[in-house]
Formats: sequence, structure tokens, C-alpha cells
Amino acid sequence: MKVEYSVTEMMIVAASRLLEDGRTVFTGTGMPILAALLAKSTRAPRISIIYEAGGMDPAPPPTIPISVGDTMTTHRAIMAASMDYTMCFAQAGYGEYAFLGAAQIDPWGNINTTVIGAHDNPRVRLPGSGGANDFGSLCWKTIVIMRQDRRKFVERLDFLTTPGYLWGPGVRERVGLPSGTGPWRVVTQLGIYGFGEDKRMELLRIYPGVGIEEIRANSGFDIRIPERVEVEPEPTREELKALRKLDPYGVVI
Amino acid sequence: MGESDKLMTAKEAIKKFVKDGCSITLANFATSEPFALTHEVIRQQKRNLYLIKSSSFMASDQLLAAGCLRKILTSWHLRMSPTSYYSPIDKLLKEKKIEIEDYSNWTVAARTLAGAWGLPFFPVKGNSLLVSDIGKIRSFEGENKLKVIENPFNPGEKVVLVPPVNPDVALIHAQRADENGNVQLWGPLGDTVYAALASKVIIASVEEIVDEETVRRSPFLTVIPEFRVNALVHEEWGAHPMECLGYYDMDEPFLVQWYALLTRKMMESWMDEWIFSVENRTEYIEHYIERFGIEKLNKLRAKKYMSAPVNLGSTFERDMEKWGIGWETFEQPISEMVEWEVEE
Repeated sequence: MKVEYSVTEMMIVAASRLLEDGRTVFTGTGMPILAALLAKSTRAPRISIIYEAGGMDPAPPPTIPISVGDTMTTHRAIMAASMDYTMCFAQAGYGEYAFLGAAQIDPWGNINTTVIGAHDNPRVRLPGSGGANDFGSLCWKTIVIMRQDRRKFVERLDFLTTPGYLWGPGVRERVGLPSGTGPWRVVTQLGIYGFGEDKRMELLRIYPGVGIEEIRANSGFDIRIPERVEVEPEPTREELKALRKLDPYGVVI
Repeated sequence: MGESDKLMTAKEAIKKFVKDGCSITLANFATSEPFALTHEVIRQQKRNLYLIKSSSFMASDQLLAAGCLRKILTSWHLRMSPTSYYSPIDKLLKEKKIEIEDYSNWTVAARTLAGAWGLPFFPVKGNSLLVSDIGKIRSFEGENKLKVIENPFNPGEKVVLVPPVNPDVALIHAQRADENGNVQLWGPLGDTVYAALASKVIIASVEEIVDEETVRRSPFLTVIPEFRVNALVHEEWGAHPMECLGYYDMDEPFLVQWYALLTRKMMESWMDEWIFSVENRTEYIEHYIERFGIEKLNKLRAKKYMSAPVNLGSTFERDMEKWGIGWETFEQPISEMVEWEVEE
């Protein structure tokens, strides 16, 4: 029997599979929280999810935190800390994954979560950085999870909130960001992207039923597409069951 | 318990300490929000306030919508995704009625940390602000948003510094305090401690006033000591519709109502109903019960989930006799003691 799943579920499952067990993850609000929790309750039980407001590695909570400061982030946690405490891990290089959302992304993985239009005359004012600039600057591997289309995958951001590779190889290091850090994967409703040696975005894996032309049609910049593209497996029954248990009321999914 | 001169109503506290044009912070991060206090700020129609707040939610949005704010220094201000919803921040920015200075969560916290510690500045690792538009686009802070110096310990390395910030007043909602104003708060702490301590005046509302003995038996829960607290307000349901860990959960349907308002008029009538037509938090909750019933309110009440007990005990005595040694053991000079041990 075929397994039914939504696009959002596919995104979250694909993102959750990226996390290697035993690592530390700083996670942003929304889909990132759910993807990290899914990883922890399935194939990576020993990842440490760190919420910047101070919740350190809580057991899978009875209800999903709707923000990184939700009280469920300290429910059965190993520690109820504060922001300066959690930020010291990112500053000192102990933040292995940063898991972020974004409104716009450019070919180098720079992201905008601040404003569409001009800063002092916005078409839409978005929430802003939150901890994204901090984590995207300091964590080793940043994973961005977002929906893609031509207005979101853009050649030029309206506002650069969180630095990716800025504008090419070596630039992060040159401007003083920690060497070896940066965007690692971008997960959308169509597939999973990485960054090549020139630090521009390239397609890594595509979802079942998605065509290359859809990838191109939903991006405002050229994405390098390798000759052979692997297909990301569909969510398994176990993954979907675990995911729906985490978010039974569909707050995110 | 003696009469405390800090204990007052929200109305008295806001009237006494929040002046038009002053700077305020809401010291809760994203856990609870001091709604009993911010609604009072709105009721008293304070104007031209400067809000300093890392991540901002509904309380900040309401201060904006009510026309209380002139400037915001923030890292994040919640809005719901569909742009069809009315968003006061969009409108006020377009009309040039407010100015906004963007930072990241940590760099707002770093500014309050410097403020609380009395430091001239705080260094930020990684130059993350400098290369982003957060550093490049400057509003009212201008030149003083951040500065770059050369690391005196490592010539050639650039270091970004942010200046301290000291809000005039911090508003905070916590679980409990004693009458003296020792504020206890638990759950994720966010940037609460530094935001509060950086401020010149602290107004705290709490769900419960406990006796001093309770505080002294759980000192690790205290986040602000009495000598820093200027006003203490006893306010049950003081953070509703946000949560207060151990007391009640977030009232999601009620909270979402605010963010789903489609027009300015709808927002104004919401504020009329829930802020201007009530005198205080007690009346607000009475109105809630009238509208939705006591059952709905009771559903939000937290179940018990007690922390594991720890032993804070000791022998509480320093009786050398019981170990068979007296002070005379230590009367020799240390050098001789060492020699004596060597001989042994």
C-alpha cells in the first residue's frame, strides 16, 4: 500500500535524516524544531538539541515547542540554562549544526529573514534575525529549511541577515568568520541542495516525482545540476508515525 | 510578614516609574510575557517609549499597535506569515512613525550584558554583524550601533564591539517572589537576567507571593534580588495568554486571535475590549470567564510535575573536637608542619 504524505512532511523527514547522531544542534522556530525532534525520536537519539533560550536537550516533549523559548524546551531537559550559556557553545565551536528557516536565500547561501523591500520602507517586515545570524555565523554546518520559488531563491537578497559564503570561496574566513563553518544543506519542497567548491548552490538530491525543470522553474538563479541526481527516499511509515505523534494537531505539518 | 513598600498595583507601578519618552525592556525572553504590566502601559497611554527587546512577541506588538512606541531595538518581532493580516509594524514603519534598529538575539543580549556588568562594551565573536546588512544598515543608533577595533592581544585581528544598553525600566513577569521582592523564575531563562539587571528600575509582577522562608529554602530559583526590585505586583494570570510554567499553559486560540486580526479597526476594538474596558488584570480575567467560561480557563491550569528534591543540608557545625583535633594543631607555622610531615 502506498504511503500518503504531505510535501511539508517530506521536507521535515528529509531534513531530519541529515543530522548525524551524537552531535549538537541549535534549532530555530517552526520546521527546524520539528525536524530536529524527529531525528531525535527516530535515528539519532543521542543528538543534543540546544534551544538558545536555555533549554538543553529536553526529552521529546509532550507538546512541541512553538518557539525556542517555549517552556516545553526545559521539560525533562538535562539543563535549564540561559541564552548567554547556550551561546557560549556556539562561540567556542561546540555548535555542530545550526538549523534555520529563511524567507530568501541567494546562490551562496546567504539568507534574509528581516525584510522584503527597503529596511526603512518595507513591503513586508519579517521577524528579523533572532538567533539566526549568531548561529549561521558560528556553527559548523548550517542547514536551511524553506520553501523555494523565484521570489525566495533570489540572485540578490533584499537584506542579508545571516551570512552564508557571502560571495565566494574563502570570503567567510577573510571577513573574520570562523574557518570551516557555513551553510551545508538547503532543504526545500523539491529537493536537497549543497554547495560546490565555488560555494554556489548545487542540487544534491531530488524528491520522488519531482522533475529537474521544476527545480529550475522555482529558482531565481542558476542552480548547478549534476548529471546524475539521486532521489531522496520517501518517508517511511515509522518516520511518518513518529512525526505525526510529535505534531498531532498539525501546528507545523 | 510585614508591610512591604514595594508591593503595589500595576497601575501604581506603571504610573510611578514609566514616563513618556523613557526606554523600557520586557525582560521575559519568549517564555511568559508581562501582559498585566504592558496592558497597564497601554491603558495609561504612555507615549514615545523606546523598546529594547531581543525577541519580541504579542506584548511588543500591542505596544506598537497602541501607539506607545517611537523606537525599537530588536532582533526579532513576531508576525504571522499571511500578509493579509494587519501588522502594525509594517504600517508604522511605512508611515515613519517608528524607527527600528536590528540586531541578532545574542548581540542584543550582549548589549544588556555589558549594561548589567557596567562594561564599556562587549566583543562579539566572528564579525557576524559586520558582514551582514544588520551591521551595514543603521537606524537611530548610527555610528554607535557597533564599532570595530583591532584586537590589542592579536594585532591585525578585527573585533566587533557593541555598546552597553541600560533601559530606564524593565517589566518582567515571574512565577513568584517574597514580599521583599526576591523574584524567582524557572524554565528557560533566555536573556532575562541581563535584561533586568541592565535596567535602572525593575517592575516585577508575579503569580504568587510566598514567604521569605520559601525563598531561603530555594535560593537557586531567585533571578533578581530584592535590592534591585523597585516595584512588586501580585498578578495572577499576569502572563495570559502566554504561559507561566507551573501555573498555566499558553492560551493558543486566544493568542492567535490577535495575530489573525485583518484591519486596524479590528485591532482597536480588540484593545478596547481587552485593555481599555477593564481596570486591571482581575477584571480582564473576569471578562475572559464571562466570554469563554471558567472551564476554558481551568483547562489552561498546569498539572503538577514537581522537580526532584535535593539535599541542601550540612552538619551545620564546625566542631573540631569531634574529629579529635583542636585549633592548637594549626598553631605551628606552616613551614614546620611541612617538615614534621616529611619526618613522619
